[in-house]
Amino acid sequence: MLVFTTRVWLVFLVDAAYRAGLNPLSKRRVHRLVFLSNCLAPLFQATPNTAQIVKYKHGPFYPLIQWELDRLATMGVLTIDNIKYTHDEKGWWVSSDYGAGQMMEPILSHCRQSAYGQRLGEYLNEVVAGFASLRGAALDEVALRDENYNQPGATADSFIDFSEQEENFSLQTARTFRSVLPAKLVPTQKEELFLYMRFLEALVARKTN
Amino acid sequence: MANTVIRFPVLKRLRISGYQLFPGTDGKGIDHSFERGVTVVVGINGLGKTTLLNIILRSLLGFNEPAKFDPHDPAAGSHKMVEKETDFFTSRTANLAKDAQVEAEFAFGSDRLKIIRHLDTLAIEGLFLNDKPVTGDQDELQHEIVKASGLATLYDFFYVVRSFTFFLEDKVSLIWNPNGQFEIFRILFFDPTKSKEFAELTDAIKRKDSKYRNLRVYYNKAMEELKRTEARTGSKSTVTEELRLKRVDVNQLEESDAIIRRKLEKALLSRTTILEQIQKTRLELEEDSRQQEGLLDSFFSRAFPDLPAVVANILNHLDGNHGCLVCGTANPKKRHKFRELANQGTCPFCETNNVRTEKVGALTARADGEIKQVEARIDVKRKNLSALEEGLKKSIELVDALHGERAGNSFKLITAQGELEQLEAKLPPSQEELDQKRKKLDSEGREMKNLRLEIVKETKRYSTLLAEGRKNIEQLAAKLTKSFEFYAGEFLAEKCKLSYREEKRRLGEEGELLNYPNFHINMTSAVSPRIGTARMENTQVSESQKEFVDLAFRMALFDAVRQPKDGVMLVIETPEASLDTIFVKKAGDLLRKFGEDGSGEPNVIIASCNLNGTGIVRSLLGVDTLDKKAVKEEVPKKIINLLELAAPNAAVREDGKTYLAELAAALSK
Repeated sequence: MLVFTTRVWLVFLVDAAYRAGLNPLSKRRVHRLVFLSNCLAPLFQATPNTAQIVKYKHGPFYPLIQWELDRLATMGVLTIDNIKYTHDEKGWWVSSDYGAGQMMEPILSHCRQSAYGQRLGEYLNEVVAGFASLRGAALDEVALRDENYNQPGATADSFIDFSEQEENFSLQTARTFRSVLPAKLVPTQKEELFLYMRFLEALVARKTN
Repeated sequence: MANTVIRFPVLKRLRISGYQLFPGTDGKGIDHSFERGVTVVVGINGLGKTTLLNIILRSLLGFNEPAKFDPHDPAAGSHKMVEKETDFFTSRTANLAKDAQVEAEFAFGSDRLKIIRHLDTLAIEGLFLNDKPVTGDQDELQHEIVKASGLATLYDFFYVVRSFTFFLEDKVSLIWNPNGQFEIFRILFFDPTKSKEFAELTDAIKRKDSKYRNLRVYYNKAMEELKRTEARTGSKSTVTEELRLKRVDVNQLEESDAIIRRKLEKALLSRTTILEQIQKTRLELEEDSRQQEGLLDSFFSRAFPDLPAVVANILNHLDGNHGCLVCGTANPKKRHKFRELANQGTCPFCETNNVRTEKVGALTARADGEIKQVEARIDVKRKNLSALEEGLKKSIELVDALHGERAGNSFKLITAQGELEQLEAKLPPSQEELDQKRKKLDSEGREMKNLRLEIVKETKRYSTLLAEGRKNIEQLAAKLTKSFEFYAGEFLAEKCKLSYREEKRRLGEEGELLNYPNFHINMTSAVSPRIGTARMENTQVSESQKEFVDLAFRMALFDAVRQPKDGVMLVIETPEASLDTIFVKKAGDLLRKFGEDGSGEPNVIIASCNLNGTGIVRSLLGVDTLDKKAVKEEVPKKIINLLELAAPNAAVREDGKTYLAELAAALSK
């Protein structure tokens, strides 16, 4: 069951990215989007695909997600291109780009027929829309500045578990914005998500400057 | 007799400007001067008749209302006044009555008071006493209005205006409601300073009566509790043993809970550790796999340079034994076969020989060795991962089992704790507990006793004041009954008399029975044509009798209270509502007669009427008693025609001519 949920999650993400003009998606960007969408899922009453991650030298990366990405590409649901193996001081790495494959549309139509699929699709659309609205230079950096990923005390290979909402610092921060806004201005979930993305973008800018 | 001089408000002129509901014929709103006698506010449903009467009412009262006021039980609440903000006049306009204003000039005896209020906030914008401006804050200005009436308090002023002068659809009955009747007697006939004290005493006694009854409920409960506690004395031996055993049970269950909790914490920690190890191993495996694939890819991409990315990916995965991307199998059988075939110059898919070009050499021994080293590392990590995954599975099972065990133990613990509490409640009380309960009961008993004494003392004073007031009323009884008989006789075919008696009622729910002055009516009927019967309830008379008996009583009261040269005012909403044809004429005659009576300041009757063919407009204006000239010259001065002055609603827009024709017919000679 989890395999199917993961695949649906990925298909919706790649589709949303395609619609937001982020096509094709680099492998690195897919993993970072999966990570951000996992962190902020409770904001939209969604269940994260996975709420644990190990900090990694290449940024957020999920081996199981990678396997499913390659499977989907083989099935023709996604496209894969520019596979490139590199070897540097960080070790071996393979980069590739993923896009919308020929089989994607019928699968999406099928998924949207269920209430769960509809809700998940709407949520992931919002995540990607918020992500895509950021400055291009910040896109691949924001996940690294995320409040869960960059939580105090975390070292280069820390295991991060945000399955409990009180330990999900990204969620807590996104929900904090309502307390600093004027009394009558209650942000919607979507506004909280966008504000959080902007907050990460500002962190990236501060680090760069 | 009371030495109060009460001046009733009599409207002399009304100007309403800037209010969208009443634009007037020229956009300047309504400006009407009131003549002696009856003025009719003519309209149809929805044109604003009630709103116009309310504007007159609120020009006197503003937002002030008693904290609780029920027209059907008018004296039930306290005499405390509050500002009740409502949307009286804003809700029917598109601009929330911005810039709307009422300017009302009233006579209070020989004094003239001009009140200017905003209609949105009802704040007093200007107040003029005999043309001289009065200054002060809102409370002071409102107090000046009350002062002009000679009444003691804002509440009394409210009650006289709302329940006596105004006879609105939601009206207070003064004849059928003994409490409402007595309240007007207190205001009109008691000595003014004593009337205020009397009202304060009324509120205080009612409040204390209610508090006393509440206290008694608590006192009785505490008494029962003490009795139960005292009954436990002597029930020691078996309970103590049971209690001891139950405490052992609870302790054991608490210990078990602590043990399970510790096991659970350990299991959760272990689960997280394994999870972390799995994730880290997967990342390491990923790196090794990519290295292996990278080394292979450099060979395959040289051997088959035109392979599409997706096929190259499948090939790398298969040969590296990283699963079949086509079918999803994790450990495909043809490991190394693809590499071997390619190394021999054979296509790894269709096995055709000599497909590799001369320029591309076979996999070097060094590269092959490097790949094999990585493969060895991968194998170790795969085994580790497999063991970890097995460990995670067991860890999850253990966590689930411990959750279940803890839930079962918690249920037993809660049950045992409940049983323990029950047993503890059966234990004989300590002397300290008994003393505490007795002390509390004594204290509550004393408080009740003091309260009762206060009630008795205040009731005594109340009773004295009541007797004085009753005496005043008894002195007026003859005048009042005579006056009533006259007005009632004008309207009713049956003989209707006012009878005075003392009526026993309680103040509060449990106060002593006191004698209150009360007037009720006695009326002849078809079955008792000469003597008549007492009609104590309003259900004992017809609808039209009910309304006009109350009106006749008001008129009689006015006569009894007003100063000889003073005028009075009655504001009546749709008097025709409950009348049949014969009584329409009688009602008109009665109100006209009352309105035109007197040689001093004029009386003013303001009646709102619907154009509904009942003939009430004609009757109230006395068209049949006037000559043509008077009808032409005088009658228009006594009409506020909302068909022309109010913003036309759909009925007026569609049938305005028909309504105007009906009005013209009502006024024709």
